[in-house]
Amino acid sequence: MFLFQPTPVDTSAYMIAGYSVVFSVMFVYVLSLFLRRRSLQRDMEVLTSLDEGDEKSKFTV
Amino acid sequence: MEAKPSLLKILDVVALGSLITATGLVFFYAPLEAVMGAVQKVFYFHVATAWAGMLGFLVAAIAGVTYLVTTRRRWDIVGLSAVEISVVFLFIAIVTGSIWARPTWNSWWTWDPRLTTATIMELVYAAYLMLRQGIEDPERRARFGAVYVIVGFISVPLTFLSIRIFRTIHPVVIGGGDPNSQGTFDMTPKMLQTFLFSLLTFSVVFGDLMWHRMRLGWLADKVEQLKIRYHV
Repeated sequence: MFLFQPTPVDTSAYMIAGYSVVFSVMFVYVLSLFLRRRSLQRDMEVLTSLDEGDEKSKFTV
Repeated sequence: MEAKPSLLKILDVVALGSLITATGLVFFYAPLEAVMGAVQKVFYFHVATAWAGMLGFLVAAIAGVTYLVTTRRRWDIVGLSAVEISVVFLFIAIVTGSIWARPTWNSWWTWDPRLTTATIMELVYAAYLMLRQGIEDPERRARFGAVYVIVGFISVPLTFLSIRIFRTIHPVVIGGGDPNSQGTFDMTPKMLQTFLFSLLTFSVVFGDLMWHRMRLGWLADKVEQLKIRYHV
């Protein structure tokens, strides 16, 4: 009886491709958030040190 | 440096946990669809990412209106964050839809009303991100952004309703659709539970990413103000 039961076509390769896209795009986006934040934090440190230097020079003049 | 709030740490854990659970439900709980086979499982995250994308465009439109009323820069950052995340989610939805279409429609792409309106919507918001880069004055950029996301929001209900008002081959799983649509299926209770959980998961993931992106936006705003001050 099971011999004549219709079986679905094997489309698992498409499913794997679909989920690979979902996870890889999300991973790249989260990574981009992390890298942008790190870069901004470095900029912030440099600018804050400039700011502190500026404050000190006001007192030395 | 500003420390990460505890609530955000909790949200990170909840979002990651929900994503792992939703993936588990898709692969091990939801049954295999009889006609399409395994590729039907793409549907759960395809719809969920499209939903999160459209949710973000709604958030951006609300932020745009609020910015025009209050002129507080925070709302510009909210709008920008929502659009950026939504463009990513919508990109995933379009690509996974194309992958699903190949074995179901025997074509990677067709200029069907849903696919066309979704692509237009993606391009409208991608253009927003690019055009913002060309405006140096922060106030002008924010005003332009606010008006743009409000006008651009027209594309969202148009995309959502396209499969309900036009003749289309794109299936409408909830609420029935065009009899010519190909790839429609009836959801079993387990499929419905997995689908609803995926929608909830991507709403949480969207909220989590929004918070992270807004923190990044606030930091970028501070850096920009300091750069203007020092003419860097």
